[in-house]
Amino acid sequence: MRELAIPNNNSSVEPVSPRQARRAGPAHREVAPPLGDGDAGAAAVTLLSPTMIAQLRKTLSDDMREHLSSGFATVLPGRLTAIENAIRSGDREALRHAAHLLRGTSATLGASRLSEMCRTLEHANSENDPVVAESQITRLAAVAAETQRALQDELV
Amino acid sequence: MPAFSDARRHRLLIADDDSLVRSTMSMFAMAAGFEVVGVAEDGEQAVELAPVTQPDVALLDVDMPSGGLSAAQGILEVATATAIVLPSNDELEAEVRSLLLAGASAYCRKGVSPEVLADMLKRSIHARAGDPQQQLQC
Repeated sequence: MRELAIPNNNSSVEPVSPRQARRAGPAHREVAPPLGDGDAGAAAVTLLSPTMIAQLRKTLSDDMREHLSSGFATVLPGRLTAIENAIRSGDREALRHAAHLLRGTSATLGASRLSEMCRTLEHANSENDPVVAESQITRLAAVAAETQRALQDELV
Repeated sequence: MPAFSDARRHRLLIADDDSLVRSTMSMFAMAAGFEVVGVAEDGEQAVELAPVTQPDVALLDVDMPSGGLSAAQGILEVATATAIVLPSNDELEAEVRSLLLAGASAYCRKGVSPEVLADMLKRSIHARAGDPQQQLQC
């Protein structure tokens, strides 16, 4: 039998390094590059859900919000790399899985635009033209970076 | 300080393959006064944890490895009083509906607010205790 986690309420939250949250540099807002036709839905969505952010600020302690922000910064590079690799290799199942994972993370933290972009990628149903694929990767990375900075601003 | 903590110390089991989602759900639940008695990375672990932890409610990601739906069915066999809440993305709603018919307590979209989630968990527990056939959706 595998080792299972039966935590108390102090240890159930998995540790992440807050220092990794600072990699993106000082918090500021940028305008993401223009979105292509396939991202029309995402372009119409706010970067962060004001309702969710307000709820997070109302409900969670400062330490908890810091933990979420740093946790997002920690997992984001790996999630983006997985999506990027899947797009470049044309591996649709890997893309579906990687996009689904980041979509869930983003939705949970109120990162609406990133979640919507991931939804689009999750349901991509044709093999990517290399030029289109590169533009998708660039746009996703830009929105992800903007999201990370915004979460840092709003939660910490 | 958390803004609300009116829940009794209900026991919660969380299963999701995303570590950050597990952390976030744990925080939401703890802020609302829940006791997180188990955290699983997949459905198989959740089923193994259920008889040990005897949660009042299990929060099971539908699209995690070995499946939230089969995990829910497994938990209902070994911890019959446990309420089941299934957070998921929308594409699997039809599948979730079939599980609701099979006895799960509630379904909710991923990305619901902490207060909505806490309310759903509490209502699912109460519904399970009072009327096992009652099902909720948010």
